[in-house]
Amino acid sequence: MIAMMKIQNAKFKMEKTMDNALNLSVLFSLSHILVLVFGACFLLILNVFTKFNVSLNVALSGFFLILSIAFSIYTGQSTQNEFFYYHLIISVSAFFLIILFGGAKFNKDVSINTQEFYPLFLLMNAGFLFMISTNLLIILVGLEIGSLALVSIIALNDRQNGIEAGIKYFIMGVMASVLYIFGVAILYYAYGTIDISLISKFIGLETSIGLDTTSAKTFFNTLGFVYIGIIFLIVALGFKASLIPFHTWMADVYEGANAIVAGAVSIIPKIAVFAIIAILFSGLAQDNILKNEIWTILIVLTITIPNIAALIQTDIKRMMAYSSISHSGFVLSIFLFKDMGDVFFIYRYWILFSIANIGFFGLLWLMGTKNESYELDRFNGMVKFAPIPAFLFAIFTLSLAGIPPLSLFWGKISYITSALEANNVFMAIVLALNSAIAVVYYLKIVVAMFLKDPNEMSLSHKKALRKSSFSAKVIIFIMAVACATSVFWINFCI
Amino acid sequence: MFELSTNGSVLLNLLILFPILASIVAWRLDSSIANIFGIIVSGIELILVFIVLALFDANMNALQFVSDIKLNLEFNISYFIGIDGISLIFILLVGIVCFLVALNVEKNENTNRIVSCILATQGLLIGVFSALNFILFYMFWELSLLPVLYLIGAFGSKEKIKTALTFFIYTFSASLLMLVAMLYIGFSANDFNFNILELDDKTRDVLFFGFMAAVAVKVPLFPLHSWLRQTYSNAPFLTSALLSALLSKMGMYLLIRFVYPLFPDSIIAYADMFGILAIFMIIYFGLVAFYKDDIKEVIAYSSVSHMGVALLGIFSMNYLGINGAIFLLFSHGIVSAMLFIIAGKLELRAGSRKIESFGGIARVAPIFSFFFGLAVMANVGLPLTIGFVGEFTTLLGVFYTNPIYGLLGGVTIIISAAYMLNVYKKIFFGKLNENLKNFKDLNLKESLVLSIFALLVIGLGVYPKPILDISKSSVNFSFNVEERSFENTESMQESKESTNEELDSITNDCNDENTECQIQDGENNG
Repeated sequence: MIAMMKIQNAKFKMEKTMDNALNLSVLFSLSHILVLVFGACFLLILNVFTKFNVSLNVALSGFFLILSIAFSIYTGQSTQNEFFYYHLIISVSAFFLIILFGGAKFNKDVSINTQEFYPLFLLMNAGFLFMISTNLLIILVGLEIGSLALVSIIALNDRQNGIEAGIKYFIMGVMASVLYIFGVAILYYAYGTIDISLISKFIGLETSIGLDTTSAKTFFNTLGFVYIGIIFLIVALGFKASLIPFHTWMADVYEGANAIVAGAVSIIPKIAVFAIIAILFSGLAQDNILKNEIWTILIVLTITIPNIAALIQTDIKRMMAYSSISHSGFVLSIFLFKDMGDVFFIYRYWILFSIANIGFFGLLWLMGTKNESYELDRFNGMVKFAPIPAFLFAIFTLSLAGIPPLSLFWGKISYITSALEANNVFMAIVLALNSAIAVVYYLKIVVAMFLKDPNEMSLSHKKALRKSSFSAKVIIFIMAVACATSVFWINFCI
Repeated sequence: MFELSTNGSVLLNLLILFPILASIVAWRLDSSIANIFGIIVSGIELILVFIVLALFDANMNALQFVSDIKLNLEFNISYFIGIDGISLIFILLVGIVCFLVALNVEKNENTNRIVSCILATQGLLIGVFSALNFILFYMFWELSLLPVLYLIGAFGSKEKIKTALTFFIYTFSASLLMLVAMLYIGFSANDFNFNILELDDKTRDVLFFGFMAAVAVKVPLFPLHSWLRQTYSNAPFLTSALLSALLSKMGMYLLIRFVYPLFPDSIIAYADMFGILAIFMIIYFGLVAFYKDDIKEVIAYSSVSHMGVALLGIFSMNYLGINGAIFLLFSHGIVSAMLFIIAGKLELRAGSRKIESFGGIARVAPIFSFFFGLAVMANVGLPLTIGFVGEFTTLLGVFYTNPIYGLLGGVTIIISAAYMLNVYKKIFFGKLNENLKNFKDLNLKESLVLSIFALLVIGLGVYPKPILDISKSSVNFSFNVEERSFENTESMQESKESTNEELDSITNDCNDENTECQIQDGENNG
């Protein structure tokens, strides 16, 4: 009864806050998203009335993203936005990626570089920023805006693979949305709220008090029913975040997408969806639903299976797709060790991951020419004729592999330490062994570049990095330095 | 806890950073001058090592040349380096071996890369041997793999890439177990620096084996040695020299520096297990070496067999055993580097490493056979060579703890005499192989380089005190083992005598089994 009263109370509070929903301060707290939407519209109109100018578009997109970052820092400080860091990671990554995209001098030849690309890129960013909230419907709206924009961007890549990848992403997205809506409907029926943090609190409350879920209740009021809703939600988000076993489309999307877009896919939607999963899980973590073996198994599989799948890939982007799924599993594992899923661990891991990934995909893009595959052989013997890109690639790859003292090593040891602190030696060893498996395929890239002899295909991008602009080089260099020196700044930044 | 002395800490930092920075320069250099650049840098580095050696106070029970900079407060990671006598011996070894290896780099279009890797390895290894923070140690430990990976993968023979990857992944996986153990200790002590922990037996043993996994792969110890043959035989000979002289010592250093002080109870509990393992390694790898027909593989297996002796010494848990083992590691580093370098020269001249393809080289290349003979003798442990001191002291220490182990460990001398002299006989004596009529003897430069080795081998063999003294008080202090004074107790006298008898009998055995032994000695000296 007490629990029910509390729930009623919470509902009441909820309604009260809903009344004030549309005042100016709310609009103000959305300013970093609105500025992106405005920017998208502005670029769209600009491109209609003036001659399409790539550098102007890049500069303006960069400008709006900077503006968005500035707003999110400003509002984040004043309104104590709990998702401040997510917003920051996403916007800053997007900014670096778009500058890198503009930095390649051959980008005029690329089919993706049309008038639509820049507004769509900003819209995608706005959508995924908007998505990070606790309201289930806002999440859906943001997810749809972001995904639709992203699908269009992926499909703009004129290779057959691009359209295939776009369609795959779209269908998976729609399916996920349907499941998501069904899950939301169930949860709304059970608790009368669409606020995800409240829902997870209710669930935690019910189980912690040990509410009798069988007697005097119909099936639709029981926890079992709620769990069905939660499961739908997690499956939907799992599709989006490509958790095992909903990951199969991911590699095709990466392969079909342009290198920069693949980099964006590996960071922006994923971090956004993971923010939601983190909120959901941090609530559920109070419940023993998360302490179940099922979760442990799911997380272990999410870490391990992609690592094994990546071993047999010969296409770098496919390999990176699996690698990024495995990293998601790493992040997810924090919920097994920390009761509330310590958000700082998540932020820290994503920051380290984003830096290495931006560097890697940025470099991949700068090394590429227009419609080429990213087979490993293409990079054979690069150290002989292009030592600096080869060393930079090595830094980013080894960062992702977690070789000390490069960036993700620190993420890795903080996770292993928390596993050990939670007395979960099994997970600690799983995490450690997975790093050992992962190093095998990451090393493939290093081996191709450093140990194999150059072939005709690889010699073709002898001067690749010289064809890129100064700003792009600077960004890659900054990322490399950040990877190498992450031990110095990682606990200052958060 | 050790006292800390920060005097001259700049020097130690310089020792680590200078070769690493120089390696970056070397990569960009033209390959024609990289050769000389490597020699100069490693020469300066060696001089720096000697300066550190001169400034080092061997009688002070303190970590010296300490610098401690906090890098990350949350993870308790600090750039905490410093050396005591034990570390200094290994650093000296790195300085000497890397200088001698740099002297032997051949001129070709890849010289700059090879020199760069050697210098990077040098800096990182000195880092390994002076790091006092677990994570820093782990960082140097892993990073030192990368230049070796490149050296094997780019300049090796046969399946070089597969070999390099196998080596890397094997070592990396084992190190990760060590990392987990380190992190466990780190968070339970809330400090990654030295701390003695209160752990229950089971946890302690699990952590102990986590560390031992890394030791076992790196040295390598018996069941985890399967990367050894492929790696040593496919690696270029300078890399094999680095691997056997320096990288295998990393494992032993880990055992002496971290595992022993952290888990003294486990060491006692598993002393028998590792003692038997060590004896098994001595005999098994010795026999394997005897049956191999590839010079490099013989040297590789011989080197692991000697590591067995060092392991036995460390697990004897007394002053002589441990200090002897440290000296043995030092001497073995120099001898095995010499052996690999000479074997490399043989391969370069004859185009083959198979023992059968040689024969009677002593007639056309007397200087060559002299140096190889000297290295063989040092490896066998002939008195007055550097190899004798380490093996004798170690076995003496083992004998005090467990005479049976001492006796069985002494077999190493017989076995190593058997396989090394066998190889020596087949290569340098007998009928001259027709293909080797034009076999060139060592030229002046090569002879000079090898005479440095020869000087070290004989000089430190006759007068090993300077090296033994470096680690004396550190061993006493860090292992709480008393230095046995032979004058005081009668029982000690007796046991010493019996050990001498024991060793004499072993030497006699050697003579009985290998009647050629003396003859060859004679020829060699003649």
